[in-house]
Amino acid sequence: MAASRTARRLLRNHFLQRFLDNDLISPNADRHEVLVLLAAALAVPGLVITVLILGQKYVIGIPTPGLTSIAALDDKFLYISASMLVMALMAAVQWDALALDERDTAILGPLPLEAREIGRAKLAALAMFVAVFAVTLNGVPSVVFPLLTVSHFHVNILALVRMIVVHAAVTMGAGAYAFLAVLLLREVLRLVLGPHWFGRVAAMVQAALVIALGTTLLLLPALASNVPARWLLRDDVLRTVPPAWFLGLYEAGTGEVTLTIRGLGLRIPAGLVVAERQARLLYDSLLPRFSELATVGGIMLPATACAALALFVWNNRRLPLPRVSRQRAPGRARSQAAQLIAAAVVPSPVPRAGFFFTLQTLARSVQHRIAIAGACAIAIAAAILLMHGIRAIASPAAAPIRLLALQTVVMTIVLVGVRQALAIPAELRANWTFAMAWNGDVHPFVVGVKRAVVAGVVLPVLSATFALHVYLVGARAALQHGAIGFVLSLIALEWLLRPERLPLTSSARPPGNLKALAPIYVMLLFVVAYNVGRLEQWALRGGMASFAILMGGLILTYAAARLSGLHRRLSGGQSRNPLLARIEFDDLPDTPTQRLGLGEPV
Amino acid sequence: MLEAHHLVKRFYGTAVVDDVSVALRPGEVIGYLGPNGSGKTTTVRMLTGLIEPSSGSVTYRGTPIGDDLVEFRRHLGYVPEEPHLYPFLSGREYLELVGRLRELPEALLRDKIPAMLGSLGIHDAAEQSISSYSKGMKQKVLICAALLHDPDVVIFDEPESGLDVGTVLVLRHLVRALAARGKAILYSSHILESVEKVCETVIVLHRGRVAADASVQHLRTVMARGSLEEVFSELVLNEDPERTAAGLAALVSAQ
Repeated sequence: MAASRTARRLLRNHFLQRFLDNDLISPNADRHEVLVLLAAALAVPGLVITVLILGQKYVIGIPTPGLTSIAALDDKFLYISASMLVMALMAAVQWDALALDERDTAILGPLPLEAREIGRAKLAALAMFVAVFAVTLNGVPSVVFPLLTVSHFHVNILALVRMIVVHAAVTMGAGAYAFLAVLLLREVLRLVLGPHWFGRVAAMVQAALVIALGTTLLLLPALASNVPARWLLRDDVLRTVPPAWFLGLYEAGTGEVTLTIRGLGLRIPAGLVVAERQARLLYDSLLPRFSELATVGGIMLPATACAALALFVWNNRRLPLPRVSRQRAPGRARSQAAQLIAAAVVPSPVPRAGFFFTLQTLARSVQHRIAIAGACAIAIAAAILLMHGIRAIASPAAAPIRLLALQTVVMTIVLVGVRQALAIPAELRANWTFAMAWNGDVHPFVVGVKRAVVAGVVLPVLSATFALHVYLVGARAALQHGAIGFVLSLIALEWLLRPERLPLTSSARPPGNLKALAPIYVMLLFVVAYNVGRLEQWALRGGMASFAILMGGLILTYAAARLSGLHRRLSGGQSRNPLLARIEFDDLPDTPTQRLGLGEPV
Repeated sequence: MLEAHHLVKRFYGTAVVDDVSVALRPGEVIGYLGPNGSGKTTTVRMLTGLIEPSSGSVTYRGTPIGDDLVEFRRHLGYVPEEPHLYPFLSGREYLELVGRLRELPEALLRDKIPAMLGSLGIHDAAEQSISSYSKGMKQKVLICAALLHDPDVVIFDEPESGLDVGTVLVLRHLVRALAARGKAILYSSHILESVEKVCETVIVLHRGRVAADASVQHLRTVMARGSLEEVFSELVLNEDPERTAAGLAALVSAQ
């Protein structure tokens, strides 16, 4: 029996709501609030970039058609790539909600609905989600950017409308392509691996996608400069640069307008005649390439859409059965090794609880994994920028300061991400567990959390940077640099993980005035990292004695930070019992009415 | 051992629990009965210190529990009504977390956790993530977690929810065995048969107020009823259940 139109609409709305249930910061927060924040986060960057940055560039800076057409290629590439990356990132974040899952089976399975109807409603919800997202992201720039690029020229209204429509269609189409590509990847993995292995691999793929896409998005301003030379003239552009395909479509759609503007016989300022001629020649030489790219784009978009939809329909032809994860008990040797390590690293029970709970949550909870993956993406982007231009280094003493600062910058960014992840409750409704078993002292638990962060985050990050530094400056200098990085990480941890709220249990609250503080913190980070780098450079040049002095200073700083924490704990009331009143074991999220104090029991 | 005096809890001005007093003594099992929404879980949450009463007090060994909630909870075991657990942990990992937070020795946990899980029949599922557990399996984990630290006071809030018949029988014997070892137990349940078999004394709650507080035998005698079910019907049900059911059946058939 086919579902009625009302049933289909209800199902579609149900699936749409699931996309909004995945917010990272405030689980189960007010949906309207989340929607408004999401829409603002999507629309505002495009508006700011278009009006404030590109507005100046086109209205004041570039008065000739040839130069405008070449300069606009960079910006069009930026818009297209940003749309693709943001949409793909959203698909990666929504990874679990992209297809029907066991929860859908539990909720919808007992209802008299065919799996085909449920799958169709899910698809409709996906389509609506993509459409709303793409319009919010690209809507404003689609109108404003074409207006800016023709601000010096008399273009008729039809040509302007055509430019607006082409910009909107291409950027939104590119975004849809990226979303569908992630969906296709997911469905291919699901088909090839089967439910069991897909369940095991999916989390890693999701984290890898978030890191790769986030890093590329952050590097986009650099990647979208000098597009003709960097991307369009490359031999492999037809195969490997999807944004270029859509740039080809863009130019194929608006090329006539560009050429018409040239024919208007505008007066070119004397100083720009040569540059204008070269720009026009370059643009003309790219026309055949645009045509090729447009053809590839015209094929790839529908092909990807068809493949993704076909696999989606096939994989969702029936509701998924509940998956039973069959974990085997750890073997005797592994178990004993784990016990020995735990006994050495966290000998007391409460630190041990903090240690294992942190590692388990960060590794297994999707929200926490995505928060850390996001931080890793920022860290990798920062590392790539700092590494830019560094090839071979003659001796460790000649290592540039920015190379030495890289480790501190990367580590701090990752640790800030970890701090953010630790502020997300592992499971709000299970907080009663902590409330009932809590011993009243935050400190031992936080000690365990810090050690888990050292074992699970600091050491792996240091290992990665160590490998890089061995390659660039040699093993000995890399070892010294790693040792300094380790002590600096401990100092950063002391500062970042002050036990004001119990990690992984208390609800995240918006940080105070982040708009004002974030730029200050970023500047502070680079000032500290560069100055530490300068000290390291001095130590590398001065031999072991200098290194020992630097390490001694850092260890003393760490000891001072520990002592200061201890002093705060003993004098500030963080002794055992009274502290319980200060820890909030929320078992329900704040609702807007609760925040206003309207829901307080009378 | 654990006493509640004239507990009142109001939400938005409405008293959900109104003047309820309970005294749990060592070796005693008190049944806590009442229809849905009568205030049982709210009382239990006040007794455990999870919410504060609007008025009245809860004392443990003569001291208000709010004076030293941590110390009180060292002696308290609590099986909540809803099995909210960390879904990404396995049953063993969850119990280890609870045991470590309660500062139990690692060697004890190593022996006790598998043995307890085995006794309740979920040893094979100990390494599976809790997200794959049935409600009954989660309930078993909750029971283990509540008893892991050998508490003096145990509060069960609907402990039989989702449990199979065999485990329900084990649970009833377990409650009696714990009482025999001197534990003070509050057993809040909808299932009258369990309360009748397990508890010496029952408190019947109706619309937030105590409708009866006496031994099961005494209630049967005074109210001249053969079973606790009949006593309960007399005390809290305003309508004849048979007539209500007939009305509901008619509604089901309505087109």
